[in-house]
Amino acid sequence: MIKTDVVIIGGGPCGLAAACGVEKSGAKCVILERDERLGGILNQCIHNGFGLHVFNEELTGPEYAHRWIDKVNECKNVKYYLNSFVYMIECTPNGYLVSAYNDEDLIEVEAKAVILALGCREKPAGSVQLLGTRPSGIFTAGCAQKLINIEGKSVGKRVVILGSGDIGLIMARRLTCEGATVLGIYEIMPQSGGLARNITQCVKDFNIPLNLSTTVTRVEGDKRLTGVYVAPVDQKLQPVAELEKFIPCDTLLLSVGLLPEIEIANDFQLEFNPTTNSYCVDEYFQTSKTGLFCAGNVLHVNDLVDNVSREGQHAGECAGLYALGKLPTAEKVEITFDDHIKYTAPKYIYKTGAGEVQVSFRVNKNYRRTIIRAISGGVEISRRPAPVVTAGEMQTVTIDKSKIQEDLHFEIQVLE
Amino acid sequence: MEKFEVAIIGAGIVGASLFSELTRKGVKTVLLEKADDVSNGSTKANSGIVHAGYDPVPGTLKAKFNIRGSQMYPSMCSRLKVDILQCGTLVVANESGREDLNKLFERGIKNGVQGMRIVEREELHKMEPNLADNIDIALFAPTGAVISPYLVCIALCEEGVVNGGTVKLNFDVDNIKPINNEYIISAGDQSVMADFVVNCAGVGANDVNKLAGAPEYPMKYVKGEYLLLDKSQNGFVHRPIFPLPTKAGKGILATLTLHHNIMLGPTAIPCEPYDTKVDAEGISQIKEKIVQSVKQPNYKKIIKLFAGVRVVSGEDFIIEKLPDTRFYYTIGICSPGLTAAPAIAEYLVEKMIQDGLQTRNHEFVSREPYINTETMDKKQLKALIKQDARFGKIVCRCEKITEGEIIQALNSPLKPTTVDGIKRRVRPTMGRCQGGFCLPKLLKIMSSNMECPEEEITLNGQGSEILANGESK
Amino acid sequence: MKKLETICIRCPIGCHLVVTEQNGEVVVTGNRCPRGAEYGKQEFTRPMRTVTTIYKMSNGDTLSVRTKGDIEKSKYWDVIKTIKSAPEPKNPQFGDVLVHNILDSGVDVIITAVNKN
Repeated sequence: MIKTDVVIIGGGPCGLAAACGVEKSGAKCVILERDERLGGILNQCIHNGFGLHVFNEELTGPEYAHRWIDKVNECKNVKYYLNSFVYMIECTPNGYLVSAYNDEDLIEVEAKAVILALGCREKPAGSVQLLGTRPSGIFTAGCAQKLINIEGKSVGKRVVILGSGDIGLIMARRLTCEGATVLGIYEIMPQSGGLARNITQCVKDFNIPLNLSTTVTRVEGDKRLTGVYVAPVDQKLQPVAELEKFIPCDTLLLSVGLLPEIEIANDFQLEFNPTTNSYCVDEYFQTSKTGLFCAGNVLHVNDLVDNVSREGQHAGECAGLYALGKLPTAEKVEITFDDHIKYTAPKYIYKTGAGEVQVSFRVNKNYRRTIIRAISGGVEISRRPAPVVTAGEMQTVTIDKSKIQEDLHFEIQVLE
Repeated sequence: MEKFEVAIIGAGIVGASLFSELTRKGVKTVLLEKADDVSNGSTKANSGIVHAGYDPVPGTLKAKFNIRGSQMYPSMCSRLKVDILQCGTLVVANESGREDLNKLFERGIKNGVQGMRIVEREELHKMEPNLADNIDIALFAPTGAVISPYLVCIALCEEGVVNGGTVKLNFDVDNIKPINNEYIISAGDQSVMADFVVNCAGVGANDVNKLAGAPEYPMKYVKGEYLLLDKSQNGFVHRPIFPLPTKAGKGILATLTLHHNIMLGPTAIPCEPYDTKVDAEGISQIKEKIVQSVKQPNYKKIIKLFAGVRVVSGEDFIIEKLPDTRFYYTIGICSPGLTAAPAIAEYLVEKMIQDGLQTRNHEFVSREPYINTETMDKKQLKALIKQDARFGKIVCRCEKITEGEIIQALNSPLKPTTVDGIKRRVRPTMGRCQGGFCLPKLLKIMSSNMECPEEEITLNGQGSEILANGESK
Repeated sequence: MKKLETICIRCPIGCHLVVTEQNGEVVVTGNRCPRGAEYGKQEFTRPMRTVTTIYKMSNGDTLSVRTKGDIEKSKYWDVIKTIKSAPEPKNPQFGDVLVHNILDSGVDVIITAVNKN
């Protein structure tokens, strides 16, 4: 059995940064990574656009991962195990016992704290209740990304993409560059779920039709996909049957949303937030169970890897301090917010006086000309004008903790 | 030309049961299947329930074989080394359904169902906390059980093979020619000879009868659509929950699979043969009807929609022989066909013996079960990984399937060659991500084991290749 | 007056830029930072893009590659074609140059990952 202070489950962007955070705290940690290399999904994200905030330059996914792997390799008190798939977390008198499949031996790690850094997974066809047959040729965008970018395979020639999340947009460009024809992207919502710049450089640059308020209603084909039906949707997002049309194609990519990979901790019955489909955390990224931390995309699906790293690093530092018995605790304040905001992460902060705390949140739809305000004890303690806030984009506000009274409330004033 | 004593056409649950029954009696048997794998028709897409037997009208073949079949299942599963969950089944109703429920109970008694009882509200809602509030009473039948229908079918076929039987896949019978006292059964340029022929072709049974000059029967094809929920919903129900049956069938039920997924369905929609499309009407029907029995399920947790086709011909099973020949046929084996199959097989073998089939003493060979690392304790798992490192390499993270388990399935007696074939045996791509993570790894493992390029690997047979070839412009 | 409306791709915020030419001078509005102004001007006069793609090795391995700086958007497809048909490198490593000075643009194509298959 391996003994350490903190065990980090997952060696992607969150886990790597968490390890650096633990190192900084002075504690020791072990990363358990299921793949044969560190970096997680970054390895298949060969496009650029990563690292502007953390490294002040634009890197590709593998390069961004490489930077963090170098940092981890410089850490004295970080060990990592590859090909190690965690299947169980148990409580012990000393903290937690984490067990993992590994091709050399079954690995068991005992630690005082655990950081969940498992990232997220893509929703499958069933989750959007895709009707029709079940032929080959239907892939989630990330699965196609791995097949094309890592394995060098081809998934199809004539492609329709359902959903306009960032992975879908990026794959539209990748498929085009690899010789496939992307016939169209279909998005059920009136706006794309992806970043504006990806619409410019992945879709418009390549003259790929982006159809909003339109969805794929059903698929056809007994063996391989032979085509899909698409139809515009009404205001209740229901397809208008009379306007349905058939598009012959051999491949359908799904970019219909991501879900945090939380299932490993299901048995602990942690406080859960149905909005994020994940657990609630305090400002240390600690769940409702002490010593069990959760950050990055397993906490809430981020739009920027830089934020994932920031969260991971902070969670790592806090978990390290917890393991060393140095993490201060105090009375909890639950963050409240108005109707424009869907959730905040963290959900709780501590009245420990000094320092700053960063609070991230998402809004329910796009707004223009807004002011983001934080109020405590009836006094405005933070105010930031935001010309545009979009549903796809995470907002982050830094709060001076010394100003926090008995409550903390966030609101968005919409001027337009 | 290879010669057999018995040729079975169709490797669904009926054909597979017969195959196992005959091979265990030392009969030289061939099982002919037009698809690339066994269990590829109605058997792969149904509710997976061993029915206790209170439903069929007393005196029918359905009643007789249902009761006998449900008695055979527990020992059969233990012989095959496959799981069976003996959880019982519930038929639920509100107070106004008490009389119908009592009738069902009496019918069960007439059919010989053991151990049934009527459960009243308080106890009932303790047994199943997610029943709809208006449910007052239920018929509990403890002999009802849950199985994996395709795994039982596969196991029966494997058992037949290790006991000397032959399975021929991709054998789409197009000619049945009687010559003297034998038959020549052909599919394209392949042929086999047999003394006895049994048609177990399910949805294709009329086509096979036609080839043999046997009567065709009026057939209705009925589609059953299902919703499958993630195993995080485990515990939503603890056993199959049926509404009161109607003329249209057993109704839409909430049940569980052996791997803790929750399953809702089936619909009963008239369709064309082999039409397994899932339609919007079907899904709304399930959602509308299911809440009459149970609380609202969490539809956010749907991971898969699917449908199967069953064939109905009249009120009862048709199990007959073309007079003065050795050609037997089974037609309209709809529900409770899965339960009845082993009993139908037993019955057919008796009939064939009466017609001169020779059985002989045979030294039974037990089928090897698939290793499932998920059910192992740490000590067993440690030992297994030390012995074969591939059992330490997780491929499917949702269902926790290792490379070792996949290789074992690839090397199993029927040597499955498709992604669906591997899925039905050891479950990769069956979980909450539906293959998003494991598909690339699975293709690599299959390609290396089958010594073919990944581009040739199919989902479920030729034409369903998963990857495309190279660049196109 | 020439006018261009576009979304800045320099960072994930995606500012809505309006670029106009007034008396021979290119003016950018809607940007929130100097990088946006620079992007708007460039997009107006000579659009540039970073190209990322993969290179397939004969042994089945793949290399993720990118242009080390931006290249002219009009040359995007030529750059892709040149990368795909580049001579196969021996023992490629992270950071190695796959194509020097691609299409005389002054920009190298570098390896950002080596994927063993």
